[in-house]
Amino acid sequence: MFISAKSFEAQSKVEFEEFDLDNGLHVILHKDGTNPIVSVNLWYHVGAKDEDSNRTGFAHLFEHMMFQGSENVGKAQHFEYIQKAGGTLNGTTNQDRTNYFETAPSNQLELLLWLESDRMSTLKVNKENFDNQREVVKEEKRQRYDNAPYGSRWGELMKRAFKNQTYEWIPIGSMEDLNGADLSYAQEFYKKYYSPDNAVLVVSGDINYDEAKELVIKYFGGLKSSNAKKKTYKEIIFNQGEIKDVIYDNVQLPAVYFGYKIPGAANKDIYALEVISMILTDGKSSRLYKGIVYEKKIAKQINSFVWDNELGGMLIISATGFKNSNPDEIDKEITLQVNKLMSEEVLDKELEKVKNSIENDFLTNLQTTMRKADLLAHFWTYFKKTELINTAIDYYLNVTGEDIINTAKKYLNPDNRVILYYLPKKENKVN
Amino acid sequence: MANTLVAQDEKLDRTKPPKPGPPKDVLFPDYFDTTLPNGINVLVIENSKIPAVSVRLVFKDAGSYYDGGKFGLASLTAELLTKGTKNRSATQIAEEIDFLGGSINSGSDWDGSYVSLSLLKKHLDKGIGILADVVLNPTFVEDEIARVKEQRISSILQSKDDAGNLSEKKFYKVLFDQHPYAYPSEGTEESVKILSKADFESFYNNHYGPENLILAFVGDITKEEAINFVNTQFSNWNKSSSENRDIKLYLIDDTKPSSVYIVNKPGAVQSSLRIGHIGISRNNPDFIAVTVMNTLLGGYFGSRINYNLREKHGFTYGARSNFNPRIYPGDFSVDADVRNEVTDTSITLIIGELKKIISEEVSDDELETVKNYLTGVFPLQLETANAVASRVINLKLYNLPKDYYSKYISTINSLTKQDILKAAKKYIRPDNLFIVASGDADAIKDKLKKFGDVEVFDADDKVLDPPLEKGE
Repeated sequence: MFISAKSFEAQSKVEFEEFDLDNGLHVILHKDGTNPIVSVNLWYHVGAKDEDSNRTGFAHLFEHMMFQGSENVGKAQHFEYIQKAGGTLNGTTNQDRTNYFETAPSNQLELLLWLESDRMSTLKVNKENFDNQREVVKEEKRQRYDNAPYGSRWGELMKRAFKNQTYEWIPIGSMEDLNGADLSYAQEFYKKYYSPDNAVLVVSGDINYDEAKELVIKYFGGLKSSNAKKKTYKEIIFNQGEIKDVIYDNVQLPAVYFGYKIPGAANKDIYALEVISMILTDGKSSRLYKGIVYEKKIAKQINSFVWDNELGGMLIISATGFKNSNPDEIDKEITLQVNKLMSEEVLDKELEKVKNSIENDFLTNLQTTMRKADLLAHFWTYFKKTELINTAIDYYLNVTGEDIINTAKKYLNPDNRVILYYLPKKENKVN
Repeated sequence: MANTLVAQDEKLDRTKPPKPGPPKDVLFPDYFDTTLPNGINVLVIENSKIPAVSVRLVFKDAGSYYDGGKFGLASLTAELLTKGTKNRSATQIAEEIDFLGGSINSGSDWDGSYVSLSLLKKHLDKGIGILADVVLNPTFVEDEIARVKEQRISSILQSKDDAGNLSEKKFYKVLFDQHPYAYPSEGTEESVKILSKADFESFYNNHYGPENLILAFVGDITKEEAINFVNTQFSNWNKSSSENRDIKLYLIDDTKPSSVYIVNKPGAVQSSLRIGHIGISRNNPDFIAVTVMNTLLGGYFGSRINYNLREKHGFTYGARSNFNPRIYPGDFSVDADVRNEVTDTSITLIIGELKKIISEEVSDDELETVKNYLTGVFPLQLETANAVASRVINLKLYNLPKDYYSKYISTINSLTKQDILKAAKKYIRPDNLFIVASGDADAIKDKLKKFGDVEVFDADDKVLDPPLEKGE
């Protein structure tokens, strides 16, 4: 049957057009007319790694300021315009980038571009709004980190694994630095990083390429660039010796966190590391789930993921024990399974299983205009190769058993890791 | 702090927002809907954007409403389906489904039990074989029962670390009292401990059958293919499961004056608040009016409550209100995490907003914004096949009118300020609130007395303090 013979690629391929404006803004357009909606996703290439060590949390606090008004948009009006247009919006800050995104009915595209270009060029930061958002961010920190069980785990891992290196702190920052954040620095920060030549704009959804291009030029073409130089990032050091620590938290169950240092997002070893992570914990038949959770019953849950920042990250493995689990035993079993990756070649069937799962995840990721916009921005920002949205899958599918052994040997030795135990504070035990 | 605009930009007037283009029609996608002779309601929601399919099974009258005091029974029964069948062990099920790159998940909430399969279309044949096996032939073996019980008890213990979880559980407990909705679907440490193989078998026999099954095929699949799968796998399923189902209705006293419940979390730096009372059922004819009213009150970022607590006062990262409708009336509640020092002020502000919404008409502008928002985001909420399927399944699960979604936008647009005030007066009662705060009791207790009698509990729900009037 002709219809069912349509190829996988043809059905799911993400077509796009991309170009640079004279001011350096990179623009990616993707047409998907399935639904009458459009997503705009604007990435500024600035994140926590650009902060000074005495101004942690600033990039994220500044993200909040971007919703507080610009020359032609008053306080609270940014949200109001978009919500009144039937749209949704938000922003996020991570180690490497800050993104602003909205999805709305497709007849509202011009409004979204007007709003984004207004705050890219004429943001207004005043003391009242700055102080208000400082308090909001402090509440965010309390809610998601300080008052949350295991809430400090990523910060504690990073500060040990990346001591005196890039990525030493996480984007939420410290309470002390948030309290000390000053308005005048916000102006400087804005000028330096919120410039067209430090951004990529993606428009994805029910668009016409020519009309969308014209609108982007209309609103962004006239903006001026800062041509600012970024700081020199500190070097990331591998194999700095194993670091082990215990943290006592307001928790009932012990947990163990492993972080193996890995290279930056665009390094080819990342593909094999992703495959390794899936061999270890993806699905109930994965090595660690089956071994530690199901058969040995020494942990109640196990996860892993590749935290691939731009310049370097970690392969994280985390396990939560039962009340009486011995963290040393969990530690020993994880280490055993990790070491096995270096000495025994993965069976073809196991590798095929992982690749089936990668294929599934890859395709289900392409369902929404917003998710596609985010991936397009990702591949441009870190790889300068937007086409990877369609081809990255091939790199995963080409990982061999030998690649896995070599990659494991390269990154997964004890000298290259941090291990943290989270244990219940004695006085907080319930039961 | 402006980047200077260059000359060519002079003609562009940035002072006013651009006008939208002509709106496009939003149509709720067509779907196929049929009922088989054995009672299975088959739905097909076709969408070939990506070569993937999900198959979603919903068993009505199989939620934790029917736990019958054995809290966690419905939920663990659902979980155990994938832990062994007459043909496959738990390990085999995991290996086979993982090999296809897909997943099978099962679980329950108060109103139903769910099993779902997601995978790429090319693996569908094999996947449906496994799915049918876990639904039709579960064995509830002792070893697996022990394992999931231990896991569950640990999860319940772990959830006591989370302030939001503590306040939510306490809120449901005091609000629903003797009603089954008072207990979490996951169960309690005590209730899960005593569940037995016989309990699971009997729940399965009484609540899983073709006549209460909604079977939805979603994604890159035609109705012919779907029907073919159903005929091969499910058409011989003829058991009747309904005769032992005990449908009991419960009355709730919702006229009590406001009262305060603190779940003590010593040393907490925030209070996690849950404030509300009984809400409405999902098929309440006022549901859409209530949704518009609640969205304006606390249902989206631009709502009154969030603006007041977050943008105006900086007391919280976010505050919202919700009607959580179920088959029977669920709750209405406001939730926010606020720092200790402003806990009482935040509650005062929230109650102020509740009083305002029942006493004054909303402004034309506020209503227009909310109407535009809700009608505008409607097509955004229909972007994926699974999102559409969830809505179609809700029509069936909650017995909503067939044209509910095709009339959704026009119903919203027909509502007036008077309708909103009417809905608020009817469904919001600021004098009958259950006010729950999980936080540091020593830091917040005294300041909360002004809202009603205060009782203090620990994370295990043991009373720490008698009501203040009686004790101290």
